[in-house]
Amino acid sequence: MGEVDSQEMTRIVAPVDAYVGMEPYVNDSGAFLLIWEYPDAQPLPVVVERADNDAFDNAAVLYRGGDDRTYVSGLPAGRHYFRVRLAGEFDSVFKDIPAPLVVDIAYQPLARVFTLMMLGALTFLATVVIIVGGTMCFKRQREREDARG
Amino acid sequence: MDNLQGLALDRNTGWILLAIFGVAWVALGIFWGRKAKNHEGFSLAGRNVGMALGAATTMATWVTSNTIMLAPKFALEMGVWGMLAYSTASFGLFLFAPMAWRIRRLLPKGYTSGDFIRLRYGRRVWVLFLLVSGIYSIAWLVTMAMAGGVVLQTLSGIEYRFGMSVILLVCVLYTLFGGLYAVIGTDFIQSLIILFGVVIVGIAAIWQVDLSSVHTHLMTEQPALLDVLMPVALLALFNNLFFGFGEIFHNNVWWTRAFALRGEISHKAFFLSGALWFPIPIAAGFIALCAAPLGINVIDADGVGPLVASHLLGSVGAIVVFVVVFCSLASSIDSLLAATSELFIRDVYHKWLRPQAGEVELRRLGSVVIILLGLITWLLSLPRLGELNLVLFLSGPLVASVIFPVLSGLYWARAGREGAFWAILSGSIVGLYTYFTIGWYAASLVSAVVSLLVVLVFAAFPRKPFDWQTLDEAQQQQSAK
Repeated sequence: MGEVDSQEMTRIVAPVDAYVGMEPYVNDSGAFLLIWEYPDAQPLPVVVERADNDAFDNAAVLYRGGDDRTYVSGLPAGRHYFRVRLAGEFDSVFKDIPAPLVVDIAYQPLARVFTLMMLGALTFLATVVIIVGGTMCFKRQREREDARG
Repeated sequence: MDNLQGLALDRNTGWILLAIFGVAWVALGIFWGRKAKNHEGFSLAGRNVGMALGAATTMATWVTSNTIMLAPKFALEMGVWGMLAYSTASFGLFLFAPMAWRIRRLLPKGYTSGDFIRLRYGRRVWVLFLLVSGIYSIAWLVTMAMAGGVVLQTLSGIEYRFGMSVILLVCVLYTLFGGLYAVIGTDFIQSLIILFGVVIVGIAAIWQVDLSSVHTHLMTEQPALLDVLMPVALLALFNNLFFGFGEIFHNNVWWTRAFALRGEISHKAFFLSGALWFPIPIAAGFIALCAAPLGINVIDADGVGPLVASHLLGSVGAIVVFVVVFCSLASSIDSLLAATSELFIRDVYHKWLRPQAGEVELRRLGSVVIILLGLITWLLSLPRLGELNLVLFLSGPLVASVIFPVLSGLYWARAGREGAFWAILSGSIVGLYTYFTIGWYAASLVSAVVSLLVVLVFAAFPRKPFDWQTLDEAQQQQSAK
């Protein structure tokens, strides 16, 4: 099999369209759907890799197969690199490595999270106090009324 | 790694299952419908539902397509906290238990949650409340119908529009024939099937999965799923709690049950249903954590639960999931159809447009409204709008804003209509703003906080205490005569 040119490589198209020199995709949930396109729209076996460096040293294989997407989740905060390479016999014909998707996982700051959680806890407490306290108060009132006949 | 785009069931098996359960539910609806002799029997099952049926219908109604499909999605995206976050929705049932006791005593002849808001706060708040409730109910109906179509297509290849249409048609038919009697009766059977199915899938997951390898995989490849300080998950914990409170405290599905259950057991039935419901999202969610360690490629996060379950149990598992999802959808769609039509008939038609309408007219109109609701839901579900949960989470800030107007209205004589109106309006607006600026996982939480603050500020102003007797409308009308 002869060499293919870069236009025939796989290309990541979501969560954003990946291309060389692109700005990192910023995500605040640590989860997103990764979608890629095949050369000439033909499904071929691929390897999806994730690494913490652009040289893809010690890259982890997220998926190997013939789908055109995979759901990524549970990423820690920081910068991550993703790429989708053709696998098996198709891999050996590459001259160029496809452009990686650069993802910055930036969770909400913990100070904001704890402030909102504290407000949530107080509001939850208020809900319980209103319902339980109110019900007990009205039960006592009802018992008094029943006792009076 | 496995490619799960292959179908777990063949299309014929899917159609056969759909036909068996569809015919069974409609037949049961016709059978139970014979008990409804008048409108009160049709809409409130004679106000005489006992403990077992009451707890089962409440539990089954709260196990929706969201529980079966979104709880695993929560686990996939937010890990252990995600499962627990989804389970906090059961707290709404626990807290509605004492509320049901109070509701039955304040409105012994009440029909809807709208009745309470109108009598307690007047027409302006009532209109706003109906708007919020209407948007939420339609959103809930549409997402459930869509979920039905998606699950049937994912598992058996039945085309989305056909699967969605058949499920909706079945629910409309048996709700139409039997009213709340049919809803509660079928809910009882459906709750048993749901519990049985979830237990089977849970046992299969524990049996087939090596927990230590799952843990090792998550630690190395998806560490945020085990992080106790994962920001999104921590916020989702409270967000889902208040979304659940808002849904249960305001919606007529739950108020109808409070009116339909026998007075002395209503609070026990709600508490028991909460206890039965609590572990379901954990069991349904856990299997999603096993997706990556089992080498399953998730291509649609909404369907991760059914996909992993069918992977673990093969075609038998796919049948179990198919039946559980069908039951969970049917038990919620029928309840929502019945309760929303009741809200329209009682609140809009009878109390506003035609107060002189008689029982026969109301009963006939009830059937028309159920068909119309089914038709609207079908039309909105047909184009398969985006993600299943997008619209539902968007309604979170709306329903969370109603929590404190409802609670203060039930328990505080000093609570007034101005506070309720501004609490709903400001909670909804700030909550929606949060949805778009921070994220869905904080919107209901912020809405509830704002709503509480507004209610507290207005309650601080001196005002004439509310006369609770006003809420007993039947008694008031008798006195007036």
